[in-house]
Amino acid sequence: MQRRKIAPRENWQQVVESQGLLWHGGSGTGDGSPYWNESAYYEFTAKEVDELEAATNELDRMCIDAGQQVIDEKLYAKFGIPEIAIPLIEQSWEKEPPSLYGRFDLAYDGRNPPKLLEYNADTPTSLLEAAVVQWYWLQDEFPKSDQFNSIHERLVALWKEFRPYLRGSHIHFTSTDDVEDGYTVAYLQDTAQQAGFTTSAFEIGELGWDHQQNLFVDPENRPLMSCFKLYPWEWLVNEEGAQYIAQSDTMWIEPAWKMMLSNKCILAVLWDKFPGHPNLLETYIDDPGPLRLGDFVTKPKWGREGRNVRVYAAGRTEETGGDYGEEGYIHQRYVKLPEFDGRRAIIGSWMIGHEEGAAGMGVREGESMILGNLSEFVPHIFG
Amino acid sequence: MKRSTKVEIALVAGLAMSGCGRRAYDPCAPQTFNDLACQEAVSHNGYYYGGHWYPHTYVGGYSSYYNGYYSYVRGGGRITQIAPSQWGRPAGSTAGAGSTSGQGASSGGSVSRGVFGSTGHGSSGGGA
Repeated sequence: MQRRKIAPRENWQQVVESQGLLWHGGSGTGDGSPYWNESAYYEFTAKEVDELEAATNELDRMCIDAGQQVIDEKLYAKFGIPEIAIPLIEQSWEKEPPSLYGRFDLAYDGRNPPKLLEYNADTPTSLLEAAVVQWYWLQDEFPKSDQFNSIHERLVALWKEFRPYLRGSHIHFTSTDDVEDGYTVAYLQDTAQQAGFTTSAFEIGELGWDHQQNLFVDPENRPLMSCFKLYPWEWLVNEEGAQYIAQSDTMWIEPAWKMMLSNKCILAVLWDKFPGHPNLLETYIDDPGPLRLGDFVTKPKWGREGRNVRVYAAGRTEETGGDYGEEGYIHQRYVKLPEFDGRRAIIGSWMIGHEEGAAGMGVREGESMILGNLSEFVPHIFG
Repeated sequence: MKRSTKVEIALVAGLAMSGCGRRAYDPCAPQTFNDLACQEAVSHNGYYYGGHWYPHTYVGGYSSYYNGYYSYVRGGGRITQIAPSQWGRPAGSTAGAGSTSGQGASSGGSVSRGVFGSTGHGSSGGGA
């Protein structure tokens, strides 16, 4: 795994915008640095990609086992999952409705096994960048090289496989009006359309509940039969509409059981179930326990985008602000992120469905020990 | 976990015959189900297919047709893919049953908006 510098394409801003990446940095990141950063790239060996792929597949299998343990041992209160969500989780786990995607964030330096930092199982973004933008970058810059990336083809194929399970041939998409969420949803709409579905999208505040028909409706009062929501389950179940979810027929993508896996407590369940596994970091819920003797990281159970994270490492503390943490924290053994040119890097490894294995990856980097939603996306090649 | 199976495509069923021999697919038939077109058909007692109107009496409401479709495909039934545009209403026409409401519209007065989205306000969005 190497970081190499390269001159950006002359018109890169126009190029990535034409590919749908409407937010690529500059003023958007606050300090003028780009979010999409093609002044460098990461080069992996085929063996390293194999290792990342195998680790991702293994982690996905282990997460399913860990999810079963959460249900069997009813660990909901420990996770901070409200009562109203429990039947939604258990019913969706039993019925196995379609599950589209997830992103494992891994610490990897090319020498030691990849370590799971967290699993964005419910509402992962940086998808367009990983699936499309870095692929076209590769075609422009290194057309003879390869990239660990079959995300787009796998998404289209998976939507087609969903057809008998989804309710009808129209899929609604909803999210906040955040620009990153918007282009992620637009991209997923595109993949669903390529699979033969009709789609429409709207801001989640426009979603309605029809009291007469007992169903969720879109802004035109059309029933939501199948709905992709880029909106976290832990938010949905704490809002007014939560009371209606169980009585509606809407099939939600991602399903409610993803609420268990996107909660950082799953990292502790994984460690409890597979102690010492090479792809896991020792993690505990609420109390750091033996981690106090060394370097460790504290994260909110429902934390997002690197907020409210505190790192205790090498005799110093680094922390980020935010509004999370009321629900409690998990404590995870610290692992040093690989550093290249003063930049620390994280691998985002994608699962598309659960049957075909890992589908590709993206690399994010930054100067801090804690990477968040403004960390830069840097393309990669291998082989 | 889900083990999805690929849908086999075959030209079957859901066919209606008009008086002059045209063939039309019922959007509420399990083999050719289309949710938006079926909602429209149920509420208007008929459907357009290929620009022609086919009157049909639906009993039991939209959800019963949806449930029929769902049971059918879960049971391994084959579906026929029909381009949704086939059920489109021709420009300038009105639906056969006289309704002028939008496609599949539910009664507007009973709908509460804003039941979701309150957490997202003020954050950087729901993605991570």
